[in-house]
Amino acid sequence: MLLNPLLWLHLRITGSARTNVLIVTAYAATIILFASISFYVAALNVPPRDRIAVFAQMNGIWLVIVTVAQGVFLLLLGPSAVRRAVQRDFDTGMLDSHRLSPMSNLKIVLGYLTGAPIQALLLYAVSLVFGTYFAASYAASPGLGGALGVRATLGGWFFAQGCMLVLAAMFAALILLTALATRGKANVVGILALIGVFGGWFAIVFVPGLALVLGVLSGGVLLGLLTSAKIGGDALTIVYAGALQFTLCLMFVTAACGKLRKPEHPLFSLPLGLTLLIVWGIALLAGMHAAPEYDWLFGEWREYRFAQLVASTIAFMLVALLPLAAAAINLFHRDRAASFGERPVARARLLLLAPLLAALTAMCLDLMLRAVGPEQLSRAAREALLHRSVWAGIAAALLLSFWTDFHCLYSLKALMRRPIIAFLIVLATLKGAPLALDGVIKFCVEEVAERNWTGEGYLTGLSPIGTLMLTPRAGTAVWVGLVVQLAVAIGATALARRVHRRLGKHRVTQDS
Amino acid sequence: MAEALLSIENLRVQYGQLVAVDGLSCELHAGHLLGLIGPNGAGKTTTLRAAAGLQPLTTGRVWLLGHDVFKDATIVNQHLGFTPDTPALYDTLSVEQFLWFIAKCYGLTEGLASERIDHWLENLWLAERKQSKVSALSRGMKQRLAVARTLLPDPHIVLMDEPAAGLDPAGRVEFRKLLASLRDQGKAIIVSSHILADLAEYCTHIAIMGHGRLLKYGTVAEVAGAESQERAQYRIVLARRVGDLAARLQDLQADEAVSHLEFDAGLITLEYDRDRQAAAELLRKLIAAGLPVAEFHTVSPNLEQAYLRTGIRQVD
Repeated sequence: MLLNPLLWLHLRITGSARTNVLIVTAYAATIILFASISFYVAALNVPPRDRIAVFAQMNGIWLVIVTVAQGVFLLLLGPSAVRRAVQRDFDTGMLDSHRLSPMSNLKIVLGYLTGAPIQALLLYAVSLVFGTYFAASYAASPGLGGALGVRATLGGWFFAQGCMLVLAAMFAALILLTALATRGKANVVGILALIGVFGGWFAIVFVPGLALVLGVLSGGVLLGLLTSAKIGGDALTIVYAGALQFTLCLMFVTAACGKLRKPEHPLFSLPLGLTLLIVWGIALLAGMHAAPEYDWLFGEWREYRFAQLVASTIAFMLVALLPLAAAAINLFHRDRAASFGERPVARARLLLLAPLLAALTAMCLDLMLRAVGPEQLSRAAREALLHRSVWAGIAAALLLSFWTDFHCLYSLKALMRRPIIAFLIVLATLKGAPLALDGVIKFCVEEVAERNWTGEGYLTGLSPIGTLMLTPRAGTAVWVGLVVQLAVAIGATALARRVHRRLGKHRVTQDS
Repeated sequence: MAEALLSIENLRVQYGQLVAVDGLSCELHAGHLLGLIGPNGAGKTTTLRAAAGLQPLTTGRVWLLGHDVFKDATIVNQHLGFTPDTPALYDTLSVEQFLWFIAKCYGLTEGLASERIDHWLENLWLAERKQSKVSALSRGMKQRLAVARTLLPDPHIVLMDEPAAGLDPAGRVEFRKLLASLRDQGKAIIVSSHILADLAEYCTHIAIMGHGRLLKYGTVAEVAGAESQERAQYRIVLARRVGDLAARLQDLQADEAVSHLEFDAGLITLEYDRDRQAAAELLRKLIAAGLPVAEFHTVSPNLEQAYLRTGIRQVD
């Protein structure tokens, strides 16, 4: 790793050795200064015999402060530095220089992941030293902190560090991948931070798998173990979360390696996208399985188990778009090449992807339902899910959804170089807008006009998400919605066929 | 003939609806130096980037030393050097640090790297600036450093996009010598440039591109010469202005053997058969038309004229 040229490079371009020493010293001095002041102030007006307890408390507080700082360095500054490094190398042309070198893709990716955040990693290391001191001091304090003993507390502390590093590696790899896809222009760290601040809590409580992957559950369990706080949960959760994060990290690194020298390719190849989907499905399943055990996080939301099921299914469908996009974009590229005389592609095999994804989604929903236990659902939802016709409706909606998305992606790729924004608009229009409109109409009729609204659900049913949401009160709205979804799917297919024919016509024009 | 070092087959690059390169094919052997010329937007840069494996292809293949440039990038890149039109450098590093970084990327041993860095700094007039920050270099120096970066790993195939842009006249002279020396070492080189006179001096082959297509491709003599070796361009200077010149040239214009006829009051240029007998016949026709011929000679093959003859008129 030390021989990685990009690590060598970043050690030099982030500043001289003197600059880095200065930054580290200033940070360490700041901690020492403020910690000393806080210990001194806390000890004021406290009798000497009570000071040990106060100091123990202060050690605990500073342990939390230093841990938060580590989180900022590893999860915010580090990934930001990775994104900026990719953006700089795109802008200066140096990324092309790396691509032209005989360095392997993995070497370049690891160079970015370890080299670009070098200053954040140095500050993390300093925090680790202070954190270890505060943890040891806290554990050594009789009474308050010494529940586990110094050795066990330090063991837990270093284990927590390992968990944090795995999470940070996963996050940094994801940021690197998105930076390579967007030339470093999209500030994904900022976007995720904003989402985290303003809607992250809801995302976590409605998609328990996300809480597992993001380390919220394992963090809570660790905190409970270290401080004897009454936080429920299984210690094995930490291992599961770590394993998931590590697997996802490997997949993001693999995808980044692929994206490095093939910028025109989708984020994930078809096989990698399908593997990611399966891993993500396992995470969602494990999250739903764990949800009833973690009352400190999900307790207030136990009435919303069905909403959690639907939200987790939507989360699965969103990730399923990655292999779907890979297949649609690859098919477009190969169709276009075939229109200039290259070997045509076997289309039928790729068109089977939509049914496969629909089957996987339905299977994930069924397994999540079993994991959470039907008794956790409302009576209406539980009874509705016993009917085959309801499952048939869900399966049809999923199939039509993926089929439509596949053909929309194909057509948009033919019409524009970067179809992502247009596709997100199509997605929002087909999947989200009917739900929002239904809500607005209901609000206007019932709250503003104070009349009874009898048409609720008909607009919702136009969206496949609506089909899922309408499960507890399956009725005409679902079937009407499915007919419209079928019409949309036929329209998307017709558009894609037209685009495909135009590719062929374009060739004739060129040749003539 | 020996195996081609670089082989491009039916290269096509399309950005959305725009076709940047359309069905380009060529081969380069050891010691070939191909000059790529054409107006802006002709597809030169895209062709070079595609040959380097940086530009995704719509169709076609690029082979370097028998390896697919896209599939075997790490093998191919050991033998490939590419200089982009804008030098790609790290501004905060010193000149020497930058070259050391490149040497590390190519896995050169410390001794070999040190030797080559000194060699190229010396040969590209950068030895005195080796401790300077890249940001402190002039445009021409940055260009020379980019060339040093390309040549440091001693590649077999060298692709250069406008490498002489930004160089001063003395730098251009040295650069021409450098390219000629690389060619003589048996490297296969492609250079894109707008400076046609320079290309004629050191290139073995010329490719003229327009609208993404290869309009002409061949040795310098083939491209710069007439449409064929049997034709020549003639230049006729008249002793005095002739008022009814167009009328007197009517017979010549109707003559199928005459092409590319252009004239003003005192000067006529045209293409006609090259051999001496044909030249004598042409002169006889001119005199028969009553023209006061003061000078009559063939014009040496010229890249600029060959370029203009392709019909490309865009002024960059």
